[in-house]
Amino acid sequence: MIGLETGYGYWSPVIWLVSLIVIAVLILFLRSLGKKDYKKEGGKDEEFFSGNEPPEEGFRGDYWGFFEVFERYYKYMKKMHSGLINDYMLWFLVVLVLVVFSLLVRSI
Amino acid sequence: MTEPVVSYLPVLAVVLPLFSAVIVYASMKLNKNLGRAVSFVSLVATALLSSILGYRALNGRIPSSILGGVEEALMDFPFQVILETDALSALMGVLAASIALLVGLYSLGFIKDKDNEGLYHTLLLITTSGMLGLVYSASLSSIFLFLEIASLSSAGLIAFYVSRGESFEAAYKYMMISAVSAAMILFSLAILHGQYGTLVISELSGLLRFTVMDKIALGILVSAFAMKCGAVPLHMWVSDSYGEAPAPISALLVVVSQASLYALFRISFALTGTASLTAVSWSLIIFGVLSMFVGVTMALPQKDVKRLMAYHAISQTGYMLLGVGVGLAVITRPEVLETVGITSMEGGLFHVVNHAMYKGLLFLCAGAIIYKTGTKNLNEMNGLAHTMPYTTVLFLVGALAIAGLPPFSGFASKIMIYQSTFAFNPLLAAIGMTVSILTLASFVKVFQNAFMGRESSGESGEVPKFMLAAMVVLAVGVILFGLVPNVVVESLIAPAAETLLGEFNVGGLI
Repeated sequence: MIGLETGYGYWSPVIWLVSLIVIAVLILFLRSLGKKDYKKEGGKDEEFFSGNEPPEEGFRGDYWGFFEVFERYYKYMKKMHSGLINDYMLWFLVVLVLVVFSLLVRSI
Repeated sequence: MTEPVVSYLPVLAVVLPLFSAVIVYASMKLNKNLGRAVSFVSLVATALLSSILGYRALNGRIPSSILGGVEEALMDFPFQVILETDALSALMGVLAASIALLVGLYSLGFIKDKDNEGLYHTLLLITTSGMLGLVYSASLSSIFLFLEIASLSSAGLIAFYVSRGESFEAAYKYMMISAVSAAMILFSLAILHGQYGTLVISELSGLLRFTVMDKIALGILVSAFAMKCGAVPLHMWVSDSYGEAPAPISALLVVVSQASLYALFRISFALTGTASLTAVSWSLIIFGVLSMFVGVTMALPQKDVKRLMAYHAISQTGYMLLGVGVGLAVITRPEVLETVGITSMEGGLFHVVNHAMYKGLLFLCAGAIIYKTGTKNLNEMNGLAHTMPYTTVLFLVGALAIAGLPPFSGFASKIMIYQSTFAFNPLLAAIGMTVSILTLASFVKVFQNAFMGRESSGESGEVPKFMLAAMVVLAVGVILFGLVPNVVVESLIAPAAETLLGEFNVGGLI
């Protein structure tokens, strides 16, 4: 049997694939019961933003809400990723001090 | 094959691409096709040698060689270059040589007739040599030496498009962080050699007394290798370097970083005693969690396809750090180690292999897109599925694997990490799963932007066959490792994890 012990459980790709095929057949069957006169016109295939126009165009557009919620986080991250090599070195120093300090804590 | 010959195989695997690099550079001047052929053949030979070493190491035969002359005389010399293969280094060796071979194959199409093509192939071979030397190193001195070789040649490759200011800047930053890491590593080597008179990892492991100076040296080594493998918050160079290097080189840089990650794991297990265990293991776990979260959240807003993938590479490194870190954290509790720790470590190491394959595939797909569209900006891409159907399918395989969707290889290693870390600390597993969801969200957008929609009016058609072939091989690997994960874990990963566990400093337990 093809399977992998995952510590607390078991993962079998074969069982998963068989289940996938069964579910796919079921979905296709249900789909075949649908209306035959469906038309794509009328915005049915458009992205839905609670009836509004997408607030931003382009790559960020669909996840606009996510970026709004995490605005402060991204502001900080942008500041952190300054692109300056001095900042890279400063972070290295901070991490070095923290790691060495945590190692020495029990010795002091 | 007789044993004396076998003992030189690790040396041969390292030296062959190094010497070939010189030959390739010279032959490129004479005839470009000859140069390309020599480069590819030497990468094939190197991959074969690594595979032979891997096969022998998995069967318990460990070739070991000390470079430079009579072994006894060399033992007093501080800077020994000792190469040795065990199950873990052999696994990393096969991985590094295989990815280098596929990068070489892809480059035959991608870099053909570009300026400095000869230099590109030369540096590719030198980087391969450096990576292999690093993973086969049994002493800290050889790790330092080969890390330097790999870093210098990688910097040259990052700056390949030297006329573009961004590439040159990225290479400069990479050089800087490599130089600082190397200087710090050298400093810690001096501390250790000054006290114990050796830099051989197995000898040091038995000799360490965990003095204040030892701990300072260990802290420096952990921090320096964390920076070299791109762990957050020492990751800023990754997006610059991966983003600006030629696409196949970005795939190679993933493995170069993983070689540093391997060194970090080796050092963390061999040079950590109980007194340092909590600090080192939790350093790895914290690096892991930060890398996972910051990596994926920084990937989400990126418009540059290669920078986006670079941030995902940081995020995936987090999983590896988390898996192996949890294994190290429970190493002194045999019952927890048995139920949780070993699976977690195996998950982390399995993820190293999977990540090299699917991230390699994704970078090569990004290269194919850039090759055809001439842009890295996702907002300028559209409907590529119409003109690049094979690349579309291959990208989809890589994207689903990195997002951890079954039945691809990424899922198998991630579920091992989730389940084992959940037992250790449920919050860590929850963060891991959230990061996977965000990864999927990110790649859904990439796929929608680049491949879906109406056909764009740019250049159409698929990329050259060499490029497609390299991507197909990686995709097959991703699918195969996902379909038979138990075979891979039992035959390759479990022995590697066992090797790492066996290196834990037992002396430190007393």
